[in-house]
Amino acid sequence: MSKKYNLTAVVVAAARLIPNGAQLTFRAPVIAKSARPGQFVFVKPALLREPVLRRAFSVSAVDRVKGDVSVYFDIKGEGTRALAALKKGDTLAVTGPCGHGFDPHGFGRRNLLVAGGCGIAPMLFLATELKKKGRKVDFYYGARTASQLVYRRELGRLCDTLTLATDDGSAGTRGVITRRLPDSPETPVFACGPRAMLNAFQRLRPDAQVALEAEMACGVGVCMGCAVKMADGSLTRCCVEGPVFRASEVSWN
Amino acid sequence: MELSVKIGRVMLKNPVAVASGTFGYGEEMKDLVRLSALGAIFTKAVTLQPRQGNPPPRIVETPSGMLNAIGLANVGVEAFVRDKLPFLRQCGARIFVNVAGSTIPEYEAVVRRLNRAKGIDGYEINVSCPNVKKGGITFSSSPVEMARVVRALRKATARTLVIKLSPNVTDIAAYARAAEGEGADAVSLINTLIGMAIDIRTRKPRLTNVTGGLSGPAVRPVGVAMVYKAARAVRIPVIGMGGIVSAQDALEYLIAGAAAVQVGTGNFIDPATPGRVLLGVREYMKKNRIRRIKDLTGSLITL
Repeated sequence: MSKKYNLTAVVVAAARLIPNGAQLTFRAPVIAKSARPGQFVFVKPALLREPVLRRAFSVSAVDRVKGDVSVYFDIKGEGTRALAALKKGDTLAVTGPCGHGFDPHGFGRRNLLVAGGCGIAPMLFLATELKKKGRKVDFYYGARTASQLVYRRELGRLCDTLTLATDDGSAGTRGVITRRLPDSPETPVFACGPRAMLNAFQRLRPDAQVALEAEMACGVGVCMGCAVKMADGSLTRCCVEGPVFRASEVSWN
Repeated sequence: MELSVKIGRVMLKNPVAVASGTFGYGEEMKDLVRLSALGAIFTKAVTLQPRQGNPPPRIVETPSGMLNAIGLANVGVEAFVRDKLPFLRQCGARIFVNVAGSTIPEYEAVVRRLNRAKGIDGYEINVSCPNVKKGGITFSSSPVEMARVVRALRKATARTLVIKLSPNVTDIAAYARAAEGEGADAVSLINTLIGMAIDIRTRKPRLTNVTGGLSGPAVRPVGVAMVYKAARAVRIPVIGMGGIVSAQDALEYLIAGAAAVQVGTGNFIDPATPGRVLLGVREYMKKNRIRRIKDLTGSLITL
């Protein structure tokens, strides 16, 4: 795993992309350089004392020339509200890059990427990196409704194909995105999204690399709080052994 | 400036240590913290058998703190000695292995096994974890019960023995005295306070274990009060912990009577905490012309 850093970074851009989703970009060249798709950063506003713990966000993009790291996250509580309120010039306490990202040994000439809701973040980063390596990317993206499909235009330009699905049929087909997946067992699959979506992969594609999330206090493997139940009954740490796992390794009950 | 502190037979280079359960077995933190600058590392609890711990969710954030119900998840004493100790013994900090068990024979077995391993400076005995169901026996249910554990372990080892006390008691001084009476070299306090959080949408506890241990800045005043009481009751060193996230917090503990401090949840809040605490303590001593840390310990002025 790459070396981890704990530093204070300046916010270079902050934007509310949808009412409940925020994008934050901060300058941290050492993290931009080494972060890999599937890894996350553990952050909090540097000057805020409450809430006390950091929040874990998958890296959604890096600019290795400028040294910028971007994250995209759902706004769901006190911590994410405070982070969504940060402005350019504010300071961010950051630990990262954390966790094991998607295994590059699993990258194919053609790749099937699946994102559900705000699981878009690591998948956007993965799509970008795969295209940089000259690989083909078929991107499958599902959300509740069309307006929730953040980065839709970027993905349309970036990926070889983009297939959409929404719960209400306002974009793409009506229903879950996993229904649209082709039967191509030779093509590696990578996915991130709500647990209910990732659940489907144990049956559809047990070899899929899936990025999970869990409540975290430390982000680095010492608090033992982010336990993920594995298929063999054991508990592993989402922040160290994960957050990327093979669908077949995880217990989906 | 004299920052070193003697705890039992162990000389800590400075009074800032890291608490059990917040630093793993050291290696995970090596990128983020200069381990050789720490006074001591108190390891994650080691039990006789490996333990998975409680089912998740087992942590939840609360105002100025968090609840944990990890349940002593650890690799077990054999895997600790084989896989974790080699890194620890060369990292440059003094090493105290936290020992937990549900029966006295279990505690003894862990200590005896660890006695055979090199590189361990002392043991911190966890008699007070609130997150483990034991068949009716809780060692922190009375000073007499706790004394039995200390007595047995004092016989089992000549290494420095630190007893970690629970705050979930009516009279902390009685526990401190009982530990001292059985030959403990030091006491450390406070462990976590029993707490609970409920998800009002589902009406379910936020922790699978229902209750958990509260830690973080919210508990600091409780810790300071208990260190004050314990330090007045015993002559052995008192190691203070509970909500230390700044040098100021550590200084409260030292002035109240602590010989040394442990940073716990503070490591999650900011891995740079132990370093900042040490720097701030030095600055305070310099500014107030206190040459030795022992002159700061217990220097509370009461009317």
